[in-house]
Amino acid sequence: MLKALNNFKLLSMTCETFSPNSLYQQSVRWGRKPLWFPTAKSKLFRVSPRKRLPKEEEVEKRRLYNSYRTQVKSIKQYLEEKYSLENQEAFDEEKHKMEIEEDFIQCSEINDKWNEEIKKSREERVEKELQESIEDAKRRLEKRLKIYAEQRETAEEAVRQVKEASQHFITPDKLDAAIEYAINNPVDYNFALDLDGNKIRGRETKPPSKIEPEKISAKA
Amino acid sequence: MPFMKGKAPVRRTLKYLEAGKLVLKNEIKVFTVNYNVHGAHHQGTKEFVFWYLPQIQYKNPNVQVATFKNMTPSPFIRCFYETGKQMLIDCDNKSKEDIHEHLLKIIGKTRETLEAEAIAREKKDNPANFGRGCDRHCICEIPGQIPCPEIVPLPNHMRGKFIYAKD
Repeated sequence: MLKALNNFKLLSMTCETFSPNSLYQQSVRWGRKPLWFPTAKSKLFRVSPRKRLPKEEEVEKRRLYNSYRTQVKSIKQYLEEKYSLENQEAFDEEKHKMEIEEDFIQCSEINDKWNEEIKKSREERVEKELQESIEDAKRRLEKRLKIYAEQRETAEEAVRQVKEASQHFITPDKLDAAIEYAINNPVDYNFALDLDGNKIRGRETKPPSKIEPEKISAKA
Repeated sequence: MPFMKGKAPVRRTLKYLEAGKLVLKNEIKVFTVNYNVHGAHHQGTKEFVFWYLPQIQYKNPNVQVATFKNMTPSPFIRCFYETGKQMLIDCDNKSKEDIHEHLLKIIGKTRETLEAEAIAREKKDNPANFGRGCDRHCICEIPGQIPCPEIVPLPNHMRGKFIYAKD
């Protein structure tokens, strides 16, 4: 049963495609006898002749093969020794840790130098900025003081003017004298102004030419 | 456009990210940058964060990268190691290139280490391997070897039930 199945499988695997339409296709059973088939009856007691080379050729062949094999053996042994466990450096955890620490210390040193440089330049910069800000503050203070002084001056000026004017103020004791003065010296506002600034009084003087009064029109 | 996002979208391109040089050492787990948004002496660090931080995070996906803004009078970078140690790097008034160069020296893997790691990675990806995680699962898939006994049974002299049969 198994043999039949296997045969069938083999047929399907190693047969050429069998198409009913093509008559010129030859089907082949197998390319070569499967490994597990027993030897054919015709080949059972077959003894194949031993091929012998002439002596010189055999010697030369042996010499060549020997030299080749020694070379291959030497390479193989060399590689075996190179990659053998004894020669391989075992991964030592402590050593690895030490290496990491050393590396960290070295890098820290470089970094510390870098930090020092930056610290110097930063402190210089900060000092400069501090000085500048102090001077700026001084300047602003001076400006403000100047403004205060000016304000004080204008205030004092105003007070002085009022003080001067206050001398002419009419107080209760000067009242009578002021009234008398006012009655005796009436102020005449009835005057015209020239372009040259001449006052032309109206009570005493007459205007230069006749001026007809303007009639007010109904439309306006 | 859905892909050109942000101020300088070139920072999001693969080419730019792959060009990052700073690969942090294996022991560094956290990388923080403190800087202010305003201030002339903070500008270098601010630009460093803008241009180089995406590259750093791309090359170190397992490192926590964090920024703290407007909390410090002078900018600095701090790295935290597995062993608990810290590395404080002052960046006051330094340009982004200076900071990057200094970091490469201090906390970056050297070129030799990176090359050795690349070679080791290549060795692991040997295409001749078969088995778990490789292209070919079994030796029967390799040309020149005995075919899978599932498809073609092994010859009897290779099968245990025939070798050890008591007949």
